[in-house]
Amino acid sequence: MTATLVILCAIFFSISYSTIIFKNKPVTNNPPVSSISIAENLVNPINQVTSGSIVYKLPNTTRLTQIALDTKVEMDIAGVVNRVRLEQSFTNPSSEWVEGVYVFPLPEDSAVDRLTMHIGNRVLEGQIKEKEQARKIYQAAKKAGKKASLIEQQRPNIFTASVANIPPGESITIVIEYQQSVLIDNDKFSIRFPMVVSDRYVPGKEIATPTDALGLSLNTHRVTDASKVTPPSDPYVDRPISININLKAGFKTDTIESTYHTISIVNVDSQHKHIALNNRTELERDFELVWAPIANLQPELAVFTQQKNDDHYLMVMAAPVKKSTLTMSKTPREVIFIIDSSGSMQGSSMKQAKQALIEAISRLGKQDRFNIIDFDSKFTPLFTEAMPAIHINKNSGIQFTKGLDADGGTEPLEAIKYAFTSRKQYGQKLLRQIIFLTDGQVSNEHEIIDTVRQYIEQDKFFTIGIGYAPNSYLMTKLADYGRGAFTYIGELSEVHSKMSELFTKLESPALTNIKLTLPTHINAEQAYDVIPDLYAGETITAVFKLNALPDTLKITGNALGGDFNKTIDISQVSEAVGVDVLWGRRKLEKLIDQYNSIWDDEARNYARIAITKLALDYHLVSKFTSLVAIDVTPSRPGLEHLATKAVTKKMDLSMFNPKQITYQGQTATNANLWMFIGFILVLIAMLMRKRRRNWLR
Amino acid sequence: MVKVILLVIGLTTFAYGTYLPVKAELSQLLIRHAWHQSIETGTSIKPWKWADMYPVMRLQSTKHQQDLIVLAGDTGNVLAFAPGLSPFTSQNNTSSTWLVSGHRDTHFTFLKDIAVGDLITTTRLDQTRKNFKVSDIDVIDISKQTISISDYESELKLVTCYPFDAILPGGSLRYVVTAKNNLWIN
Repeated sequence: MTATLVILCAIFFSISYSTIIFKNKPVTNNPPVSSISIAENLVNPINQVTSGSIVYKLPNTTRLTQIALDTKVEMDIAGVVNRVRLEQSFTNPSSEWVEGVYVFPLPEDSAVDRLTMHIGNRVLEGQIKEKEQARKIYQAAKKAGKKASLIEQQRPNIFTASVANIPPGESITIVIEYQQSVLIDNDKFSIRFPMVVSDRYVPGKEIATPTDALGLSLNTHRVTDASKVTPPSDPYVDRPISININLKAGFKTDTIESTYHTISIVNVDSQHKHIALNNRTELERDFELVWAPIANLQPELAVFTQQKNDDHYLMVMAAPVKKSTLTMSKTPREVIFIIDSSGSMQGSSMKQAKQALIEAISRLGKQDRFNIIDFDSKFTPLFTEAMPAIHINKNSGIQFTKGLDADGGTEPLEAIKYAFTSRKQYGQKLLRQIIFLTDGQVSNEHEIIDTVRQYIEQDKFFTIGIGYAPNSYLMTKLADYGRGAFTYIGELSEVHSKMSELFTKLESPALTNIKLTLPTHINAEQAYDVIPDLYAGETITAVFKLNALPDTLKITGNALGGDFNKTIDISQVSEAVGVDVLWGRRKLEKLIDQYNSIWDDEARNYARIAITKLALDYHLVSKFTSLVAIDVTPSRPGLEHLATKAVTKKMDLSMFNPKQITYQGQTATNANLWMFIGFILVLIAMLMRKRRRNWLR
Repeated sequence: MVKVILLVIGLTTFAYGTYLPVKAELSQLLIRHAWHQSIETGTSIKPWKWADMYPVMRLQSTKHQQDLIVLAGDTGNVLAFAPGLSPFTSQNNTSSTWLVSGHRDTHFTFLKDIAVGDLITTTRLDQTRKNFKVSDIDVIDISKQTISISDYESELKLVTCYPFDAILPGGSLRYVVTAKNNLWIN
């Protein structure tokens, strides 16, 4: 009997073993995809099972026919005006006619006012049209087989270029021009150029989406245009980009640096430099150029004018208060930190955010109170309400921060509401500051901006943009409405210096209720007449449209010590071009802000008409206007099919960091085992019968 | 006498073995009923009173004539009745990986016939559908390797034990079928 069992065991194991060996052969019932993939992937079937490599891989045929895109950026920075020429060449490598649709980012304050389409030696000038009308013109040309291009705005910092009827094997080049003003903060001048639209989180329930939508996400009831702001990406696609900058700073520069990329600088003369992006590394992150004047030359004032037709335009940039004049505030503060620990923060972003938060907590004084609210799909506050910043509470805050993991969705709304509604009345007056640390990768910007606008009251809202390509539009707008300031942190090494600058702003009182007044005989309109609170090191920028040029400008405001009152001489002006465009762009922003805060349909309609008119007058792409360029003669024969393809962006692999989980599921039943044992038992029974017969003989 | 006992035990054991796949088939009927009720009522309905699981999505493949209801969770008691969605992956996050496990000898037997390029359709309780195209088929050793879960890319991973006709359950090899949801691939 024992012998039989041993034999059975031996048979049993050899069978199960041989099954495994047998199955080590390639799975032949899968039809081969192509001979190439088999040659590449089916090298050694036995090794495959033990090392677990890929059995079959779909050869990406779509990649071979993907539209190629080459981008050239040329910037002309004169003083505080940056004029940018963005050239995009779309090449169609496939054998069919295609339409390419490319979703790309621009700075959130860019005034896009020109589009040209280049076909051979011909240049076709784009026209500004009302959005729907522009779309109709483009569609008609596309249908007629004419080469056409269309630039639309999806968000102030997200645009779409559509280029129709690219012939097989040929290219169409479009040139987009925009203008922006230079940012001045803490005596440093800077411009940012975003390279990629990062993957945005889309909240809400999916709703009907056009079948020809090219985005990764379907539209939702909360983001009704989600499919337009979620461009597909591909890790292997090549999207070369070159940047060339002519910098005429208007003063002797001390330093010129690119924060995240390597550049080469050629001195044309002492005030004129030529800057080029060196290589193509780290193209998925924002390009930032920072320049500073030599120490004793820090300008307090810059005034530029331009005359166009009968109108004068005047731009004033002033740093009316020096750091030293704003004395350190002794007012105790209540600081609420809101930290984003959603999936998009994974990796370096989360590290930077944690480091920044830990530094911030450590710097709080005993008289201050604080709380931390962590959010991803849901939110978790550290304390139910703000607690005194004493040692034990600060310690639990630091432990809480260290334990944060980046995963889940990006749903900041409830966290922000909690920050506002957990407000308490204390015996003494506290200065309440909310600090929002995030990469801002959301697509429902307006819900968030609206929430802050509605709940802000006397609180201040500061934003810290974390990571490679933070959503600057969201960050700056929140800080504007929240009467706070925004800061970018793109690298761990930047955390300390950037946070120190922010603390100076947090700890010193701001100049509030700022008004700019011109002499009474001047008839002037200020483009954006609400000037955000001014913190140490910040600069006021104002653009006026006026009938004559004034000599003086009065700045008034409220400071901690009392009223602030300063009259500055602006008789020394320099002529500049493009001030009118900046005026139009700022006026547009003001009207859009008003539009966004209106809920009444009729009033909205009026606002829309005003915006459209202004944008058409200043030739600007906006929420309601687009640029469209059309070729005169058709080039695609009527019978040829036109395929519409999304121009994929290069996938940011550093962000794309899939979670690795240890799989524990047991995915087989005992069915085979039971059947096998049953079969063996029956077999033994049979054998026993045979043997007995033998014995009988 | 011994012979008869052996024969009886043998046949019973064999029958029990063949019963397991049948049970899995039958339970799908009850689960399907719960699925339709869940859609109608808008709440999660359990397939039977004492069940501790509820349906979350429907998985279909026309080519392989499969129409399965997936339950939440991937523990043994779930997988005995239906394929299960891993708690690591939420069905509510539509731009992430959905990791679905099933028994190699019941619901997921069809995976051995699946080929790159095959289409799999999912339907969630709110009736939103998604099409997935099989892009990779891997065999991994779970004692040494991990399975990657993306928070950004919409994909479906179907996992079952490997080899398909091994006699002993509990091996460490898994057959992983990855299917991608690419709305933009023409």
